[in-house]
Amino acid sequence: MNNHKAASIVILVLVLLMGFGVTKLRSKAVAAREASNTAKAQAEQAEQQAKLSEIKLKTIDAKTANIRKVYTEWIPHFEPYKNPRAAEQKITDVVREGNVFLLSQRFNDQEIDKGSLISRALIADLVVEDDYSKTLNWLGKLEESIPSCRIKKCNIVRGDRGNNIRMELKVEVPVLKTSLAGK
Amino acid sequence: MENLIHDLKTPRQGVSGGLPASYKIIPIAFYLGVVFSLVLSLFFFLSVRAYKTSKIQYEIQLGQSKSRDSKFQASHKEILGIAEKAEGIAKWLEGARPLQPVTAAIGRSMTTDSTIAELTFDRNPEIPAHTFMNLKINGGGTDQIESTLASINALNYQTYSAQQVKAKNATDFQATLIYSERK
Repeated sequence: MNNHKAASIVILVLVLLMGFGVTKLRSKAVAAREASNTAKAQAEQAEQQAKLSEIKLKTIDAKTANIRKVYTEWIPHFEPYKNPRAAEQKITDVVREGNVFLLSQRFNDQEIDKGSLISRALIADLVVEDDYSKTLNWLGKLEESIPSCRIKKCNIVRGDRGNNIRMELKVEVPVLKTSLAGK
Repeated sequence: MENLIHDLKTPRQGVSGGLPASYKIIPIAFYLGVVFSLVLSLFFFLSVRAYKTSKIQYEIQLGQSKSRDSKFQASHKEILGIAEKAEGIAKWLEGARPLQPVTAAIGRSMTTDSTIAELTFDRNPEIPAHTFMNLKINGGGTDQIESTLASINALNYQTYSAQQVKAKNATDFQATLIYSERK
């Protein structure tokens, strides 16, 4: 092999190496571009998803504003009765403060609607007999003191004496689950 | 002149003649190829760097968008949870409207000729917002019933499935009371 041939081979090798290097760099650039494009597409998709979620949030926020206002306003009236004892105590207090003549009372903690939000309630069976206006005022006071209570049954008949009435009441006081009270 | 040089330098044996002039393009092409390769390599190198930088930026953007999306979805879930609880509360409250105003209104509607013999309210177990009312009146008549119904209607209660049984000097009136907000 003479010098010309050796020099040609060296140059050829150099040219091949340069070509290889450039090709390698090009494929790296192409791969980087594709990765960047993929990341861009993902970022755009995520941004769109975030915007969609924001729109959905605003919609549901506006849609449920009234009902949530009801919740905010009423939950303080439900919260004090996290157990039947508290509800029982409150009814006893209202009876005592109303100073009505109580003939009988019976309290019972019952499951009223399994699976629903308010599934338990304290059922109070009360029988009072007193002056007509005093008894009706007391009924109003009971409903005012425990706004969450539900008068399930109310029976009013004439009492034994003069202006007296006899009132039989079945009162339900919802007993909240702790999870309901929390936000 | 040729002879003079010939005298100084004797012709050498085995020396080939020069390459054709067009072959001069080979080194020029080689150097140009080297320069072109270097420029291309620099271009691809800078491209790779730029794509990597943009990929990192898109990834940061993706993370931020996903984080925002998660926040919106969490808020959405929270609002739905509160709305669900609120609906349960509202459903309960719908069936827990105070009965004392109705009782008092019925009592006030009685004329001097009439008295309440018995008044019963019984909530429908399936739809507590519907209250069955049974009113027994001594004395009075159709006028008394109309007056009583007017008092009940004034409290935004509508009477449905009303039945009236008249006996001698007594009236038995039954109806389902449903509260309806007046617009």
